[in-house]
Amino acid sequence: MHNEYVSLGKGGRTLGVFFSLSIVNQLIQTLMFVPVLVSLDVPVELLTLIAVLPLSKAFVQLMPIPAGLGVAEGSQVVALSLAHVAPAQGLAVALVLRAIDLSMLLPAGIAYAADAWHMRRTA
Amino acid sequence: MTLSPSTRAALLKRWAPWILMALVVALMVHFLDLHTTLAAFNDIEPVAVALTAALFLLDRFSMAYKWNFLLRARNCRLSHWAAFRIYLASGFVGYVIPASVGSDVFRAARLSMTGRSGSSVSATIVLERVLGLLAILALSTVGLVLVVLQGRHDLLPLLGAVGGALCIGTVLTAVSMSTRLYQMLRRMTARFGDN
Repeated sequence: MHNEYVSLGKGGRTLGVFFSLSIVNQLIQTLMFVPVLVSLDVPVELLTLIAVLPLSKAFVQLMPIPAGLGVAEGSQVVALSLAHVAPAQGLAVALVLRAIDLSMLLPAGIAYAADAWHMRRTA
Repeated sequence: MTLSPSTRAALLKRWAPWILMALVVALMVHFLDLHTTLAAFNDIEPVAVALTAALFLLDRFSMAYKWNFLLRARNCRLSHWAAFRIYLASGFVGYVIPASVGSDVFRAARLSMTGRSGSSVSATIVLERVLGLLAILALSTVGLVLVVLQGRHDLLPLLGAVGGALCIGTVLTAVSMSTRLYQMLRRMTARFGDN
């Protein structure tokens, strides 16, 4: 696998485009917080949010907890408080995002079933 | 009854994540004003929730798109729809199977089952994780520099920590991508292993 990894790493253009797409992806993930913050009449410091919210995601990725339950909310509250969002409101935002994440299990489950059906059909 | 060190380590490995989770939740319950949190829910507009859900799906699509970009670079051709479907399905598995790498293992296994090279697919997933983390650190460093320049000097220690992590991460990634340095590191760690 390491040879494949090294081969991928030698593609400078591929890495550059992938890195740019990763940045865009992080920006989308940060923007996900904005509608709920606006809805709560919280002044949105977009630049601070862009600076600190991705860090909460990185922190959760390093924690061996299924779906980052609890730790994701805690780290988001801390990150949002750095952007001057009151902790209680920050928790409300984090819980709304968790609820949306959980509701996405329905389309994800449908995708899983569709994928299993697709695999069986093509086998 | 005394437990053997290996049993103790296994028990700790199994329960540590749950203990950590319970600790964080207990801290939030203790320090946060939950009445204000509950009251805040009344102010959230359904339109905001719908918009967030739409951005959530856009995020999943963009993640699947960039993974597919790496797959195509390794000649593992997938349609964007198939990549999106597998990515969504892996999210489902990631929730159901209590392991942080459950979704990654699902993606690798799923494509291996349809004849794609397992090592190629695994390499794209590892690179996705590594570059994803570097992208987070790079974006945060740039953002923090701008925020500090605007007068938020309280964030200077965080900028130092994130900038340091970015430098270390970049060096480690460069080492992992260099065959010669990687072999040297393997020899060094093997020597420690023998000792």
